[in-house]
Amino acid sequence: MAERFNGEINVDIRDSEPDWEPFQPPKAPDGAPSVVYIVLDDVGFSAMAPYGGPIETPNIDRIAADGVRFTQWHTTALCSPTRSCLLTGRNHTRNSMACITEAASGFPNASGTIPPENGMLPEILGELGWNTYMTGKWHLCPTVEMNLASTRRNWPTGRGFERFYGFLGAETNQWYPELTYDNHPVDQPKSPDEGYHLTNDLTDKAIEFIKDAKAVAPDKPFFLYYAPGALHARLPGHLARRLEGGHHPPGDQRLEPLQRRHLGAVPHRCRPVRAARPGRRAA
Amino acid sequence: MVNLWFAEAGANGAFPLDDRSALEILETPRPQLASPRERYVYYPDVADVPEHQAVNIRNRSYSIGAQVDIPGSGAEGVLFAHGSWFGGHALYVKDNRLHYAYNFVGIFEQKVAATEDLPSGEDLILSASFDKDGEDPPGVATGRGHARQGVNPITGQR
Repeated sequence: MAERFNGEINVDIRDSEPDWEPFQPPKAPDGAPSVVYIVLDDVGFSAMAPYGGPIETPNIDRIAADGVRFTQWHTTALCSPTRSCLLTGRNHTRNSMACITEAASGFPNASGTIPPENGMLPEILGELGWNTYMTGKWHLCPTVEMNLASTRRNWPTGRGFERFYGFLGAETNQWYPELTYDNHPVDQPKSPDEGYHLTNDLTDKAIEFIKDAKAVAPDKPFFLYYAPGALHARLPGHLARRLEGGHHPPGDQRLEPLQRRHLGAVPHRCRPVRAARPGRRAA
Repeated sequence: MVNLWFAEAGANGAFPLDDRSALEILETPRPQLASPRERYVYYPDVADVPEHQAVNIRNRSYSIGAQVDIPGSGAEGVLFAHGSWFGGHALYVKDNRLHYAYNFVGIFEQKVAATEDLPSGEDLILSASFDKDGEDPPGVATGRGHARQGVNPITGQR
């Protein structure tokens, strides 16, 4: 009980005065915004239209036009460390995520286990009255905890997400994914022959989570961590064909002048390093 | 500047620095939920067992057995499968024979098959085994694989 009970307790309830206040669930301030993280995996700086890239992203363009496009930032260039930073606001080594969870080395900076005292955004926002949802890639538990016999303390539900639908590891097949729903494995709802692709599934689930709560409490804000993994694994066929046929593949050196022109983001003296080939991924 | 770097690195948990090769890093021993044992039992229709917590068959002799009832002809399907195109193995029945396929890190697939048609009956053992006879290169076992189908050595039934 966080707050003091200010009612009155007597022997008979008819003579007593209730006080609901200490028992209320947390409530976000009036007008509190919902927060959506879209975390794309292995999508280069050069890929999307707002950064001069060839991939058409009309909705992202709209957000960019109404917002800020960063051209300088710090990144760890690895999956688990970056995710740990995005969700805690702390440096990756302080999150014990010096490298990916599979490369944990048993030291305080690299155990693959984020210290519980490093609060995560879903934990904080959940306690403040937001609904907290995650769909997609987690990659924030050590291998010893990524199985059905494990504690769930480092699963999404153990770190503040009220609802989770996605995969726990670094990557999964995008047509036949290894899906986890909250704390247990589930089968995919339909086959690739019936039009299944994981990104659509993750998107549908995110919308479903939001709608489920909006039907009950339309003004309650939510935090959504939406983290598809499509470009970490193989490209969806239609996108791969589009990129190969007439469009520049991701990492194409021809994009560099494009970025320069669009943003002034790349200094003139910079020369691009050899372009990474799609499909070859470190983590 | 150097001293400042060390001070900040120490304060922010940068040490120890790790510039070992990817192979060395990935081969680092890590905790397991259950200690390695000589016999692993897997049940039908359970959740996938992740590689890190599963039986490690690398660079050693081993055998895999599935206890099955085969009422008649036409039995077909996968009895056991682990891994994917980056490496793994599978024991399965196809074209009335037992097969075992081993995918070595996605670059080399080996297959063995039973030499006789599948028997029928209850409580049969369908098995594959690998007998290690050396290493080439060091750390990678060489040897012979077998697929066997028939008598259950425990119950004696065929």
